[in-house]
Amino acid sequence: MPPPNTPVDGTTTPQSTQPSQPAQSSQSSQSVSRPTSSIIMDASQVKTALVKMDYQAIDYVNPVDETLICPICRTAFHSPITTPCGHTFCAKCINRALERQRVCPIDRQPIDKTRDYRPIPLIIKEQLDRLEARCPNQGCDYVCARENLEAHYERHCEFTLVHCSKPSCDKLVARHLCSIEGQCMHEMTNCDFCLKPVAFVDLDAHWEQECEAAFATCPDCDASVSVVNNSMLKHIQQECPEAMAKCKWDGAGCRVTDKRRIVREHERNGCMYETVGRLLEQQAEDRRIIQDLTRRLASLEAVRDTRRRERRRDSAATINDRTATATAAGGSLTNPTTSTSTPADSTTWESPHNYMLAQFERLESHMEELREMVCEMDMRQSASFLHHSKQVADRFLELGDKVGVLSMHTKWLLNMQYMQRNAQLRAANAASLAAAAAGAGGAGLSGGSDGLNHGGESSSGAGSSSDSGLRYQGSRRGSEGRIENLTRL
Amino acid sequence: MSFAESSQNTTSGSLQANNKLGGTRKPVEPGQNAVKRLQTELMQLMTSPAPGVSAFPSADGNLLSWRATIEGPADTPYAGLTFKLSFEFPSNYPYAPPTVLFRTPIYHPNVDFSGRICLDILKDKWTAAYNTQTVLLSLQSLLGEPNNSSPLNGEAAELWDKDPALFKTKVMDRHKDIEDD
Repeated sequence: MPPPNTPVDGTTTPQSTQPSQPAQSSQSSQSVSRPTSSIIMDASQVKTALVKMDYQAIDYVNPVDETLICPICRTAFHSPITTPCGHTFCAKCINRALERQRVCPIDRQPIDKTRDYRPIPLIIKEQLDRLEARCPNQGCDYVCARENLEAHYERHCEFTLVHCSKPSCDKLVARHLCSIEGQCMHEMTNCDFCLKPVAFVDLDAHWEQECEAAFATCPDCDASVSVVNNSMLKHIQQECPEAMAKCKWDGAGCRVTDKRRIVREHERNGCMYETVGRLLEQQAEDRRIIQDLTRRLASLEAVRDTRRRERRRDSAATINDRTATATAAGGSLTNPTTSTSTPADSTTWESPHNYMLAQFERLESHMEELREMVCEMDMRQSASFLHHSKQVADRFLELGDKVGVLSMHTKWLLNMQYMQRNAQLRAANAASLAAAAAGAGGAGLSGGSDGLNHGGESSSGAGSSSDSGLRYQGSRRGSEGRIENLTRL
Repeated sequence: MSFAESSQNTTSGSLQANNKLGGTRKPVEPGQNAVKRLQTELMQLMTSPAPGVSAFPSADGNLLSWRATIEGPADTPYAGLTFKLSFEFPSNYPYAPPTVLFRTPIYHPNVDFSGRICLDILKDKWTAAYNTQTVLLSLQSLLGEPNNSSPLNGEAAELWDKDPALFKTKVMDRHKDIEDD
């Protein structure tokens, strides 16, 4: 029996509408009412579903709690409302029920639907959104939270009905069947097996239900088996009771090979090797478990090692802090950088986050070390500066002393010269005076002996200061004394 | 889904074809809703059956037509008897009630001799919240507590109070196990 829609297909001429496609393609994704414009020009553009997803057709992975089920449609609520009497229904269901009778279907309280609906609590909505749901399309086994299912159905599901790729055809076709651009899946083709005309879209159903040529008789068991998609091969390899097959415990050493029917009988009656086979299976299972556990253990150990390293590094850092402060006080330089950085580099990190944190800590400890080093150097610098400057000051003082001694010597010599000249002058004067008057010569002699006394004192003072380069205090006092002497002079 | 497909063949096949041709583009046709709800109910009846009642779509594979059985409640004249019923669901089910008939002959004040039942929830008191199971349970309780103020079988209504022994005899006389068709 050909499908009811075939005559229309055969007569359509697609060429007439083709030129207008590019102009219309921009609005094609939204327009649902104009099937001719829904042709996809861009492969990335997604055809939207033409029929809204039917929430009642959704199958849920887990049984839905009775409290979330609409009493009318007996499926999980879809956009539910609550009546004033406290009962909850899908909006669509209660609206339809109220068309017949304006009462609550549960307790028959009168309801005015324009006023009386109340929104449901958000917690219920969330519970509904989270229900794990299967795509309602036949052939699709997609599972997700119910709130995301509509997007899957409308935009992604390969089994959702969309417009036929051919612009002139306004029929619906599953999305995965309209992949060929411009190819109308409602066009007739000839069945590969019976050569009868069948629409592309109906080929699968035709092979499954109608086409007699799509079935062949199994050479072994005389059963009628479909030949589409290698089903015959599958039948012979896995099902056919008359085909040759090996015992299930082949792997355990059983050598029985016979018709599948007999082999099955043999298996049922207890194959000798069944115990071995089961043991082997058990062993394989155990091995898998062991592998799994080993893997898990390894990962746990890795985690533990990481933690341990982190802890060790932390404690090392605190110890380094302590030693660094201690050594800084002692004035010697330590290098804690190497001790902290080596474990950090060899560590395998669990996450970039941890890695960054560790790096940060490492840098911080570096900073701390540097600060300590700078402090230490500063102290050393100032100490050595003090040391040097003291020496320089001593030198200065010594030089000052020497200068004082020299100036004293010079003054003494000058004084000597002056005194000698004075004495000569006085002697000359005296000689001239003696020549003039004898009484004036006696006074000049006593003054000369006084000057000689002074010179003897100061020379002894200068001698003591010259050999006291280290005992400068004393020499300074000496030089002061000399200066006093000089000024007195 | 085999039920749904075969139901299309028998009742709504032509409607489907029209839809396919693009004549009417209604999202979901009314019959589909009913079928879906009945599938859910069937699922529920099979996974959590109520004691004393059972229901299953009739053998011809039409999901809008069911066969059901009720066991007579203990301590009533119907104790130990099993009654077969037929359910015919309208295409706008559950917004309209199913037509329920006793196929097993029964002597009861609210059931006539052709099996028609006088029960308010199957008429004007029907609401969309009822389902096959609740209807069956209501009918089961109707067996023990007939509504004698509006009888379809006047004699039975009278005998119920007057002569329980005779009532019981009449029930046993009338009862006759029927074959499934």
